[in-house]
Amino acid sequence: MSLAQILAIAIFAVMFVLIVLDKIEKHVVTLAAGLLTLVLVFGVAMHSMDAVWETLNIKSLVVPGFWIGEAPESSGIDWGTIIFLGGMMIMVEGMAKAGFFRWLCMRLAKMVNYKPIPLFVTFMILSAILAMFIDSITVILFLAAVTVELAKLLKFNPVPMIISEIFCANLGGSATMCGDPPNIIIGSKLGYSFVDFLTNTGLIAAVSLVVIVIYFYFAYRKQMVSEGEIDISAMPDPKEAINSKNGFFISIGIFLCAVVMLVSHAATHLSVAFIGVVAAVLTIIFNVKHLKEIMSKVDYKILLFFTGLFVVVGGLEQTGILEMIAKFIENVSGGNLKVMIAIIIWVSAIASAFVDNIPFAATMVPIIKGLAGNDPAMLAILAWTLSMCTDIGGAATPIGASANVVGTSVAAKNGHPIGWGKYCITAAPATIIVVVISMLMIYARYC
Amino acid sequence: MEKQIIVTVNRECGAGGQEIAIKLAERLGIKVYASNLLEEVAKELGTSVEEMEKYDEKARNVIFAAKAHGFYNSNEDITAENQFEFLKARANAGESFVVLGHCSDIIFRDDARLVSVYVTSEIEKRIPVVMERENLNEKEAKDLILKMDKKRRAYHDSHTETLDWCDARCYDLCIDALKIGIDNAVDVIAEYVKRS
Repeated sequence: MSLAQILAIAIFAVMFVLIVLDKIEKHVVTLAAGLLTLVLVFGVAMHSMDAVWETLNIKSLVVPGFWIGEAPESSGIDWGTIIFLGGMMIMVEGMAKAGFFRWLCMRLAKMVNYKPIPLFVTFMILSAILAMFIDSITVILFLAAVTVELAKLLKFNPVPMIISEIFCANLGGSATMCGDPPNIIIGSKLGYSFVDFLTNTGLIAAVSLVVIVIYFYFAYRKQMVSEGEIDISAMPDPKEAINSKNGFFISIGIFLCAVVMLVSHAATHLSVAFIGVVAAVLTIIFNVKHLKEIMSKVDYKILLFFTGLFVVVGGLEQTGILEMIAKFIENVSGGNLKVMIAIIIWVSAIASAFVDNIPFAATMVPIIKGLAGNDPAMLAILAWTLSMCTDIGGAATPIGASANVVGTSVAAKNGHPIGWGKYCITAAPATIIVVVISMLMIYARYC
Repeated sequence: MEKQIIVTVNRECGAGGQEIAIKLAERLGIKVYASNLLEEVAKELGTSVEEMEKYDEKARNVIFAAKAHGFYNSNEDITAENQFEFLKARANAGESFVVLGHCSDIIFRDDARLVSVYVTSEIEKRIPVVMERENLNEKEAKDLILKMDKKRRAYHDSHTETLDWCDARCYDLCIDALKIGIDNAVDVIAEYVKRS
């Protein structure tokens, strides 16, 4: 093993441990690790400025295909993912400012006459559908807050609903390219479109959602009852959630525009970076007055986290470590696709349950590329496998995905702490159910 | 208008801190927040104390919690935060009170209304107290004292980077109540509070 390889592995391992320990902010960890990769791995050990430029990938920003047309294959920092995420964050903050999410939750609660069981089922489905288009953190932030509020008024325990919503947000996120950060990375790095995801992982997610709604219904139906008399007339009017009528309709318009662009981007050849920029620019234009407030809520740290992470993974890629891992998986599986799928499914799901699924997915993308070689059909199968299982693996524990952290945190803030036992007793079996469904569907459809 | 009083009592296990906090509040005619603090917080949040007590006065577990989007899902930290916010709101509403533990000396550190007290004593003196109170033998009592002190210190110091739970410089008054008796200790603290 060369010095560059040893350094790349050491930097990656230390970065991973520091991310898990969570003592230092994650973006600081990945940026520092990224800087060390550039200096020590590419500079000191490899003496390669080409590796530095390839990993920084700045030239990709000026290639026409980056915005419109066929995106060129590239390694290193995936600027498309970062720009798209930033743009969607700005759009979502605009929607939140207008009161869209709270209005939607309250409207649906009213539609089901504030009955706990229908509310429980509706919010699970809502969580999954919203998470298909916007980040699951925002979905859970609003859903959990409204759930706690409604639970107080309707006198039921909000914990089962919050756990189910978190799970369904992770499941919904797996259905599309923009639903969950691992999918954005997989789609952007491997050139898959929104429709590619929808017709592959989307189908698995849809079947899984039906099973999971039934599962959570049976797991929690006895707890989803109001304790005492409920005065429905005292419920808040959904209209009260709307802060500005104009802003409300404009934000819905921008959201629909982004959805249409995402759904059709395989045909229009608009890149996700372009769509993100359009959504952000439109939000900024129509929210000039509230720009400072909106921008202050954008989680720029996650964008920096991604930037550093891509550089570190670039270090593993440039030094051939990921190729070695791919070879190892190939040897273990004896080149058998079914075995490869099984390895990726279970390793991804178990790893994502305990460590951040974003660095895991970013690391695995070049590995599955190596495994597939020049076979695009095999690459697609491995991509859908990786996507489903990193997304859903993250749902198994309270720390597996950001939405879980936000949801359990909102619950605890409102006096309903959700411990590992309480969370995992239903979420872990649900994860296993979805992983098994995914495995069976992947085997049945592609092998 | 009467002067607002906020007294925080930190204590070593078996040193008599709980009794002092309760008697001091009675003497000053003000409310005491001890084990009832969680009940008050639960009442305000409209939830039950059973859900939260598992995480009360415990240091965060860094392995089982994570941060995302400005949120941190450590139930221990959030339970503590909820209590901090409750106490701050009470203080801002002009209420006078005595708080037992709960990192209250940290919350009101820069507050001019604060009198912080640390109740201490040699372990040899505390062992018989705990033996009688908990019906334990000497070794069990000593083990319990060491365990409780360690737990309280970990909880306290996990919420501050500058203050040390058992550092005399972090308190207005440190007192060995077992040396002069609980009632005399209450007299001394009450007098100190009145004059401060």
